[in-house]
Amino acid sequence: MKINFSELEKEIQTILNTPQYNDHPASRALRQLWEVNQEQWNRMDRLTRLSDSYQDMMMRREKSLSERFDKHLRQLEKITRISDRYQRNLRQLNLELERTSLIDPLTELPNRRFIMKRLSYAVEHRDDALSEGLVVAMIDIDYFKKVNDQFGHQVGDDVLVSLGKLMNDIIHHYGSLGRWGGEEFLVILPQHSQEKAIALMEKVRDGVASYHLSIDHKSVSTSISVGISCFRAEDSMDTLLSRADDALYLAKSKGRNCLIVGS
Amino acid sequence: MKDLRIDGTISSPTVIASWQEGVLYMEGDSYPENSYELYAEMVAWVSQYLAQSTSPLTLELSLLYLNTSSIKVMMDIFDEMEEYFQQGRQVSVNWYFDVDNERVAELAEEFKEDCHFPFQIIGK
Repeated sequence: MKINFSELEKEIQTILNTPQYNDHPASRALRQLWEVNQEQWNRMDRLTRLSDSYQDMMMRREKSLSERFDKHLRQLEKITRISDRYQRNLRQLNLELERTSLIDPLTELPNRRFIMKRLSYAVEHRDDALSEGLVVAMIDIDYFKKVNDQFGHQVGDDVLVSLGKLMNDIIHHYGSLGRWGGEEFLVILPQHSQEKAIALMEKVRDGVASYHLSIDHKSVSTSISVGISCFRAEDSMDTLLSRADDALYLAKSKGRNCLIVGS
Repeated sequence: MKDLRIDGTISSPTVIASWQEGVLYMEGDSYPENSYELYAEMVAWVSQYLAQSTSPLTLELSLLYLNTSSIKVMMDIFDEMEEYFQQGRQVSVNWYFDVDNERVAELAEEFKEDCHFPFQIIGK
């Protein structure tokens, strides 16, 4: 049975407001029951409101927590991104620095520091059991000062670049070429017999001698002198290099454009 | 009110804060081991200035390298400035970079991203 509460309420109000029922025990009981009922309704109302506001508070708190979480997450992502960029920049700078510290900027060949590093590695890792050993060749461009004086430093630089490229094209399959300083270059040939080294350096010497650099309708031709030394059991890097240097000096004094093997 | 000065080292910038002028100036690299301690005074100065003064605040920055904790410190400051800016306060950042080092400008752009207040990246 469905009760219509507003009808019932109206009916009760009418009974309670009828004066002749006032003294009837049923009316008194009804009045008390009515008051208890009203109180219960009020209580229920207060409870509902309280519960609603708790719920609301929790929702707000959750929202503010999630907002704070989002904010921190966003900040973290941004910090990471910026930090990554700084690291990437540093890494690039490091690579550039490493490159500039090891590469000769003019010829783009290994510089003296780099070629020394390679030589030191070649000396340390040589295999004395093999019949072919480590050979170095010191190269000097003949009359380079005259090229500078006659054609100017710019042409001198061009000669260094062109010859560096020409020599490296021949050498790079067999070993390394680096700029030793000024117009001097150093060749490292690991695992080369003296004969093989002489043949290769002869090819380099010949290549340079027959090369003509044309700049502004001027033709510049040069030659190189080469001092070769082969690693010996008692050698250090210094003695190996100084024998090549002595041989180069001899090649210069013997009229240039030639090879001498240091003894 | 008080001014602030922290002398720079190779790994930390020179920091100068002037209450009268409403300027915080930072110049140098920032990769100290103790960023949070080092910058505690500076962060407090900014908070106090924003809370106690009503005058504009300008940050004059010539910062090159920042480590991760320094990035966090700067972002916290920018976030605080942003909050005040949203309430109508005048705040701004001028981030200077050497035109030979575009990377600094790119990084400053990253910082600028979420800031709505005037944030200028100036080559010099």
